[in-house]
Amino acid sequence: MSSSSEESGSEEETTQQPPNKKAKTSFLASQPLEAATQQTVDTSKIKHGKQPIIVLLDQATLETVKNRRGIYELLNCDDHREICKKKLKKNPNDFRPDILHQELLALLDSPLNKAGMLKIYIHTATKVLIEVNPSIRIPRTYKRFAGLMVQLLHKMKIKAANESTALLKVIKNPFSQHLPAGTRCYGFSCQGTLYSPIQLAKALVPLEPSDNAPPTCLVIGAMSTGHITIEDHPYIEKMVSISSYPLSGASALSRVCGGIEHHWNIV
Amino acid sequence: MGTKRKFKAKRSLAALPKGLVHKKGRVSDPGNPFEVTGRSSRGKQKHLVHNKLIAKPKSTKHALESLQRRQTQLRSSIKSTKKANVFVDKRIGQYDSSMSADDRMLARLVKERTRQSQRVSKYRLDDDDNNLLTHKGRKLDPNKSEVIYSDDEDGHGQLEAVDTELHFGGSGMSNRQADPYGGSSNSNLSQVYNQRKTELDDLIARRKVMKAERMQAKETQIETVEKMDESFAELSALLSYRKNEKRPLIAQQTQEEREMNEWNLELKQMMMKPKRKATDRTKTPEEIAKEEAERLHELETRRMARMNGDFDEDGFSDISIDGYRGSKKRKMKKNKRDDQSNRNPDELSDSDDGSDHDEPKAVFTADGLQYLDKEGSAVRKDECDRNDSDDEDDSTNNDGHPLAEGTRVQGNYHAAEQFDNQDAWYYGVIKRAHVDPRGAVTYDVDYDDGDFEEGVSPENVRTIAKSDQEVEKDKEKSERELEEKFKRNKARDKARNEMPFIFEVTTTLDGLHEVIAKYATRGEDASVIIERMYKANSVKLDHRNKEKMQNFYDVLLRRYMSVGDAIFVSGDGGEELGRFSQLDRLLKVMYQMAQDSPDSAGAVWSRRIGFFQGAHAKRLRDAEFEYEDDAADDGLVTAWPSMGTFLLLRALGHIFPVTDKKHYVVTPTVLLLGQMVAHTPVTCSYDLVMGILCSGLLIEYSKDAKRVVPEALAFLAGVMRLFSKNPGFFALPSLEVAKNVPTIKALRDGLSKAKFGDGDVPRLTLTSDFIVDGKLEDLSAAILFAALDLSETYANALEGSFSISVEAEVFSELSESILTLPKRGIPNVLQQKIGSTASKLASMCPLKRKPVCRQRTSTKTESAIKSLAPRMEDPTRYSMSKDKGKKAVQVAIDRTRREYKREHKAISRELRLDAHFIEKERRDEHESRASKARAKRNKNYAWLEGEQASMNEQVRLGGGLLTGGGTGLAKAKAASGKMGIKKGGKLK
Repeated sequence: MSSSSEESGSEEETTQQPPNKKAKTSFLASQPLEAATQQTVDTSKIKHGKQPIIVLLDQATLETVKNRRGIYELLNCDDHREICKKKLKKNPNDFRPDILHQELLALLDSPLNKAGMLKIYIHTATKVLIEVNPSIRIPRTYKRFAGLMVQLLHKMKIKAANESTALLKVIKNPFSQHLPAGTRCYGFSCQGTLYSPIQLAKALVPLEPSDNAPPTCLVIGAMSTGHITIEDHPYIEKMVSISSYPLSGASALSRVCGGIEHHWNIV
Repeated sequence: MGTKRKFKAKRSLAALPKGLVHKKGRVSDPGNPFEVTGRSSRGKQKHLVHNKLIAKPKSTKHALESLQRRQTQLRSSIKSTKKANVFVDKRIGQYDSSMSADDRMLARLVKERTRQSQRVSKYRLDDDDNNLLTHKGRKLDPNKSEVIYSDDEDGHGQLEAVDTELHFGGSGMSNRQADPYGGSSNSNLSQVYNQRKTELDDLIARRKVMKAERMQAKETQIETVEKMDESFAELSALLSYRKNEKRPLIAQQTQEEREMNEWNLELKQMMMKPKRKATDRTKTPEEIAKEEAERLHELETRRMARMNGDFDEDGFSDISIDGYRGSKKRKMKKNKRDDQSNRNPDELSDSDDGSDHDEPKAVFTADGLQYLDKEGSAVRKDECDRNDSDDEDDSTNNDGHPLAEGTRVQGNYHAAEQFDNQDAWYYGVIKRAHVDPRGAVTYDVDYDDGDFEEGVSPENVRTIAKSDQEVEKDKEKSERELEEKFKRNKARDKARNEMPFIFEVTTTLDGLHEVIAKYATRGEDASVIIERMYKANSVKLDHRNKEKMQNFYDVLLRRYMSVGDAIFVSGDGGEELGRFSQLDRLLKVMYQMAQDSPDSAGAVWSRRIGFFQGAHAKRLRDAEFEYEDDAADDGLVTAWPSMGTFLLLRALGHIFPVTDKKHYVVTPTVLLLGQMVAHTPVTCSYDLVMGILCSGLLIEYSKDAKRVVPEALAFLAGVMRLFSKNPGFFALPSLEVAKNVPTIKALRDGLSKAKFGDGDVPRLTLTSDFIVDGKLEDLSAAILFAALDLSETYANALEGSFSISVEAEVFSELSESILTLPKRGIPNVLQQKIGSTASKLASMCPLKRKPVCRQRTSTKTESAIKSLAPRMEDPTRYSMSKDKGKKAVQVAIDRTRREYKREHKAISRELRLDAHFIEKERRDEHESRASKARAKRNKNYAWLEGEQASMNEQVRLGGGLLTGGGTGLAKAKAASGKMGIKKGGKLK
């Protein structure tokens, strides 16, 4: 064993060993993405043509609670204030699944999504990773949305009404393993570098969706307070800001989508 | 095993046994499995739900106790396994602490005494109480002996008992000390025996007397019965019965009853017949082929045997005796004549040949048929008749002489020496007949009484006249033999004239033609030869025939083509050649062979199609040059395939399925045909006819599968346009060119001159005398009619298969071209046909064909991703229950299944843990044993090493202290007595 490790060490300079499965994800998670971009880009995706923008809605508060009548509900600050305070001993103001709802509506209703140029993931505070099919029609009312989320958290998967297509699906962590190779990741924070939407699109997004440039991933928070940190997401290349003012998640996303749509000429 | 083991990592004893889940990160001790599972499963929730009641984990105390209990139990059971029995200490009071030592000893003594006393008394014989013998559980009382001493003569068994007792003794006798026969008690045994003997003798005598009396009584009774029977006849005659009594016991049977009885009898007979078991199994192709081949072999063997005159075991079942009764001689003569003319070349010399050798036999068999008796040449009938009549008139007539040797005769013994010319006729046998040169005959006669006389003149010899019965028998015999002979001759002639039943397979076409030329005189014979070749060498008989049969298949295809070509040149060939029927039978054989081995047939066909393709490509290449160079030649210059090829392609549809979407043979053939129709130039009437035939073939092969062949449609449309004055645009360039060819122009002109009645439209034929040399008017009419007919057929076949727009597209070319045909100046029948076809096409495609346009690209909204609503459940009534929305029965079933699964899991876990524990115990035990042995071994090794070390030390010091031996330097030193220190040693 020792001899083989030595040999591999000597060869490392010339040829890079293919990392094993376990090492691959950790590799992606730990390495800055510049290094990843220098590597060979997955050509199968590029051949397809379009590289969608990947959006991760981070730290969403999706938790289920069982009420007195034995009905499962999505924990929120309005209905479960007492439970939060007394039983969970947590700040009820943190539980804002409605933010996620608004953000999802903003994203899924955007022309960018209609053009099929958006790929959405949700990461909850309890570390549940959810993949969102761009085809999903998210319920407009919060109540129905909450029901859907409860159903998702229990069933792990939501299918379309008349088809077998999975619209929402709980997938395995870490998020980085679902990113295409060479993806450039940017986090949104009011403390980040300020860009106007159009500037942002110019700076971060490739010129054409079918360009051979690496895909872009935007990480935006879906929580009421706090920031996205690079500690949580080591693959984030840069923190950016879309406005001088603190914006709601939905409005920030609208601006970003607008900028990219303008950039890619999606009307 | 050993080598395998070498490469495996050795399992440590502490490692978990095989089959147990080994989780990473967990070190050697998995701990209490119950505790672990409880902790882990309850600590980790699958779905995090706040405010949901969760059962607390159970106390580990009980689980631990339970585990320990289980382990103790297991350990004890492990120890007791593989042990047949155990020692049980049954000493009294050994483990009873409450008993004192004295009590214990006393108790044991008492027990021992008791035991001994019982044992001694059990076998004591002199004990009066136990002296009774028993029989079947009953006590036998010696005072009441079973024997009854009686003189009763019927008491046979008792007497036997007496004898038994007397001979073998017994307790009763010994006790009684008395004579069993009632005599004085003082008489000795010899007296007893004597007395007994006399008694027995008396008994025997009495028995004999009794038996004799019984027999006498029986005889008397029988006599009495007989007498009474005799007298009963007289008595019954005297009796008179009443009239209306049912008199006859055996009534007269009616017709119906008789029939019923007959039917019953028949039925019973049928039922009594041995029944054969019915089999519903159909024979396999192999069995059928084998039977057929065996039949042919049998026929061939018989034929060869008959040809060689070997008629053993020949039943002549296939030989009739027609013509034998009526004109025996004529038939035979005729046969003889046939023999000379129809000898087969492979016929062997025949010992039975001709009637010459057989005829002498015939003469001796029957008197009445001696007309056949003449050595050498045949005898005239009148002479034979005369012979017959002479024989009948006088047996002593010399004309019958010389008689054959061995003939039984009456001889006048020494006639010359007899007194007064008295005759003395004795029976004898002719030993020898002497004929001197003058013709006088004398015989040597051997008489039955042993005398022998030489030189007996024929007057003194007369044959013994035969009885009528013998004559009749001889006659029948001779008849039979003649019939047999006739049959033999007939069979032999038949065999000589017949074709062989078995043919070797020829693998070349020339070979096949040679065989056909040798054996066949008619077209039918050629077919028979091919069939016999196939049957005798089928692949089903032997798989090794595959290769030669594959070659034979290719030969058959070529034969088919050659026959087809011959049809083109000279037609059917009449009844004698029957080329069409030849093709039919050939096709059957080809079909059978394709069924037998489809792979071979497919390979041969596809190879042949490949040849066609190559040949067609070459013809296409050559076509341009031929136009210019060979235009002046009279021969047929064409790039189209020959008629034989076309007919072979026609046969293809009968052998392989044409409706398959993809077929190894048919699909390439259809493509080739399409290529031919589309590419091949049309320069003469033959080309046009072949094009129509190929189009027809394409239509035939595609109409059932509802496929469209645009080439065929385009060709048919082009043919129609060729006959119009304003042809317009041709779909096929070959026909575009053809419209200016003089031959085709002549055809077009000929159509207007065609004159025939309504019913007799000339039809296309396959022969050249119609296609090439026929009348132009007829040919042009036939071509146009065929094109119209095919179009109509295809339209009918495809009607309704597609949407109207598609049909319009498919048939647009046809419908346009049919409109270009002239409306006047052609025969009425053709006009009617044009009308019907046009109306058919118009009904199929009422719409005008739409011009082809480019498809537009999809709009943004169309290309936008589809919006899908999620499948949601009512959030107010949402429950996590697994049984939600199920029926009660289903709920129960599912619950049971879940419980079963849970139990199964629990039990398997328990078993796994048990196995783990047992394995651990086993390893521990093994380890403890092994460690003891190892320690002992190590100790021994240590001692040995110590000894060796001291020895080495001694040697190193020079071996001076060693006694008795040593080797090498040490020994030499020791011998030299130089007890110094070894050079290089420590102690210098």
